[in-house]
Amino acid sequence: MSGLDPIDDVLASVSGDGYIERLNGKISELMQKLRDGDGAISEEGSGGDPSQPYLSTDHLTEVLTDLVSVDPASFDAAITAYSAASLRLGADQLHDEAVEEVNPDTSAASRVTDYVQKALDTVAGDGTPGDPGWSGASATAFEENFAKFYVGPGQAVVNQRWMINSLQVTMEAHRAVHARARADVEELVDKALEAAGMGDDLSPGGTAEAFVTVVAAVVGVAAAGVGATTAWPIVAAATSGAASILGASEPEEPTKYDLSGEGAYWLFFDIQSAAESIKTARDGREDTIQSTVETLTEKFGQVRAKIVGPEVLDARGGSPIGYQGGEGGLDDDYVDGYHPPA
Amino acid sequence: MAELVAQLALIHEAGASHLPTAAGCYETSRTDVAGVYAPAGETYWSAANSAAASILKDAGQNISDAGDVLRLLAWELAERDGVTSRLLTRTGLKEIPELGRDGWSDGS
Repeated sequence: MSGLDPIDDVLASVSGDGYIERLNGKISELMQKLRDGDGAISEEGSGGDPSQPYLSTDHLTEVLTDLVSVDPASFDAAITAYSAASLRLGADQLHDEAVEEVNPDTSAASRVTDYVQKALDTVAGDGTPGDPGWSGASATAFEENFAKFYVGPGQAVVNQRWMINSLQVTMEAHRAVHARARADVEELVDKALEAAGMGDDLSPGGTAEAFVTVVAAVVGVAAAGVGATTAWPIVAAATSGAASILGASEPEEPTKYDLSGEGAYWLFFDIQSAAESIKTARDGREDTIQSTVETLTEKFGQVRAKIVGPEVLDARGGSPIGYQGGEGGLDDDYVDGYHPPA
Repeated sequence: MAELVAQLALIHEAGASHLPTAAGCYETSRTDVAGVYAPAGETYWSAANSAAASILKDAGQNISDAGDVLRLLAWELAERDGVTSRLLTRTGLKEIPELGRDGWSDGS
């Protein structure tokens, strides 16, 4: 990884209203320099296509501020909600080795599944005709439709965490796209100010020159969430690994853009062109994020049974408690096959 | 026989308390996910969150159903073994819980 500031540093720098206030000041200064540098440049511009006002600093300001209109901090609540939801699944309630490995603080004493397993052990019997335990069709249904998924291997819990973590990581990628876009715009404005300040004069033929780095990255992280279809649990359980996955997904080398700075007239168009490049990159990443989220949504439906596990139905395919006609009773033969211990 | 009653009380407790608690956690997680605000107005997030929340709802229902199974199991075993009154004493209940998908109570 080179050429890119760590995403956490970028987030700290560009989130919140402070960034907007800082950037607005720089943009105002830059636009004044452009107007001072060439008489053809004005706030309103000099006509042409109304949607692309020619040499209008008001329009260029709009282009730049539109690029930074989404505050990365607005994603924080969503990411926190995903994280909380994921960590709640299985952390203290359900036993699962993968979850336990990620959350070593999980208390065995508090795990519901351990308690349930202990309860089930009391009616397991020894498998002999004299002591078959709870062994009828209902017991089998409970074992197959619930215990194996939640008490035993816990695959359902792992898959549920995968589902939520996939959304969380993709949302983090979404936040990073906007954070990078904000950082790109500020760098563009900084370099443009530098170019304007370096020129002996801003008339055509001046000598100032600067480079702008255009990034707006983050694609691979989303693919990581979608791609984990055959070996889902690993990435899923590693909730805290989202940040590292995110960092690894960004390009090693950012794109560089040249601000020739050869006079205010050409610098104006260089800035406009660079802003367009940033927008194109950002929109492309946005499209990728959208495609990823839609793919995830489709995947959730395709593998729904793996995530939820089978319904906990009784042997007759009805309610697990034999609820019929508005009454639940104790005479539904739910304890088929059970005999009291000899 | 005292051991049997203790075992049944354990099963009852698992179904009446522990699994419902776990199901409640799933409901909280479902609420968290369903309430995720999609920044910048991208509506495709809403569909994803709705799908995930729906799955969590079903998962929580599975756990709740499993709790019902264990509750019923405890009382059926008690009835079959003739220790219903002892289980009532052990659990501190005044009567056999009313069981049903439309709600149930311990009658205490």
